[in-house]
This record gives sequence, structure tokens and C-alpha cells, in this order.
Amino acid sequence: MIEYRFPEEKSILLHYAEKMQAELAKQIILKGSVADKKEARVLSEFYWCMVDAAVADEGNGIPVLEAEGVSAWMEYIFHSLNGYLVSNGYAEEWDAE
Amino acid sequence: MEQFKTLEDLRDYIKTLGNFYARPTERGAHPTLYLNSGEKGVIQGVRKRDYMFSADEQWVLPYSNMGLSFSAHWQHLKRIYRLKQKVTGGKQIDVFWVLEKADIPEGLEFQQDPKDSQHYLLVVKEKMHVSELVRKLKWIADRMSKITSAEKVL
Repeated sequence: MIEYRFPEEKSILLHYAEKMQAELAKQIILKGSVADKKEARVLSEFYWCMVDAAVADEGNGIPVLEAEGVSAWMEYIFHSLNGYLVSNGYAEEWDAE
Repeated sequence: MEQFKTLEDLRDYIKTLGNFYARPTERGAHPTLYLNSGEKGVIQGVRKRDYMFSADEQWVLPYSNMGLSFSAHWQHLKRIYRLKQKVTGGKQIDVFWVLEKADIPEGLEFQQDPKDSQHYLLVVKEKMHVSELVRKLKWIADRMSKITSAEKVL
């Protein structure tokens, strides 16, 4: 299971999954794990697109992002996903551009 | 310590010295403190979420799973470098690094992230005033080496 350091991380991920209409990513985040390389790739692509989206909208609508900054929270989420994906053998999918 | 122009130079050099801890930061930013970042949730340059603070936010308490973040592997550094580039809108990123065996101030210690073997946290081992932690983080920063133009080899 993906272990988040802060519970707000999951809320932020779900917020952007809905905003970006990333249904597959949303389902992966909700179930808390990836089943195979395809899902790992979906989650990875979503994360990096989410970073761009959060930078663009400056976290608008999410109090914790507005208060503490997009950069800090994208980093917290990065560490949670990085730890999970790499330790579960999905480094290649995580590193894909 | 010697300055290096590329990470390849750095890699070749530190292979002979041992493991390292590194942090990519936006050019001009402090390597271990969040000064002038515009971030809220920061006390004297220390992110509140990086350490366990006392209720009055004057003291930092020992807590093994919280600390300033460092990469301890090239692949981890490459990923966090990519993130820094994105969140800064493509600004220049410098990499600051220190060797694993380098001396660090008493009361601080590098500990492996239990969820990620390539990620280390600079944790507080004893209760200290925030100003003391800041002083120690500055001490480490003063002894870190810097590499620029890392994107060419990362």
C-alpha cells in the first residue's frame, strides 16, 4: 500500500485527479496500490502532470497548498510515491519521461 | 572542498570517498534552510513539517522519521532534480552535497527513510531550540560542496 507521510497528500492527489479527469489514476489512488507496470505508468504520468497543473494554478482551492506552497507539497507526495514505486519494482515506469 | 563542474566529475571523485547526501536547490537558495522562499509553514527557515516542534514552536524535538530531506543515490537525486526543475518553472538548479563520513554537528544524524533506501533524513537526536537547529543547519551548509549544470549529466 502507498504510505503517505501526511494524510493531506492523498486529498491533493484526488483533487487533481478529479480536476484533470484522470479516472484511472483516481482509482489507483483510491485503492492505494498499483497492480502492474501499466498502473505504475499511469500513476507516474499522472503525478508529473499534476505537478505542472499545481504549479500552474498555484494550488488554488486547496487550503494547505495555498498556505504552505505547491513546492513543499509536491515534494512530500514525491517521496511517498517514490518510496512505494521503487521498492515495489516500478522504478523504470516511475522514471519514464 | 573542491568544486566540480559536472556530476560525472563528482561521481568519479566520490567513488573513491564513499557515500554522499545531496540536495538540489533553486539557484541562489540556501542549501539547508528555506529562506526567502515565500513558503508559509516555515520557522526561521525550517519547514514545520520537516521536524517535530514543541507546542510553542520554540523547540525541536527528537523524532526519527522527520528531518531535512537528502538524496543518497544518483537515481533519487535525478528524480528530485526533475521535480525541482518543474516546480521552479525551469530555473537553474544547483546540487549541494556532503559525504556520508563528513562530520555533522552533535545532536543531528542522517537516518535512512524507512520507506526508501535511497532517501535520508537529517534528524534531530536531542531536544534543541529552533535557533540552535538553524545554526547547525547553517554549519552543514557552509561545508557542503556545490555542483552547477547538473542537468547535463543527470
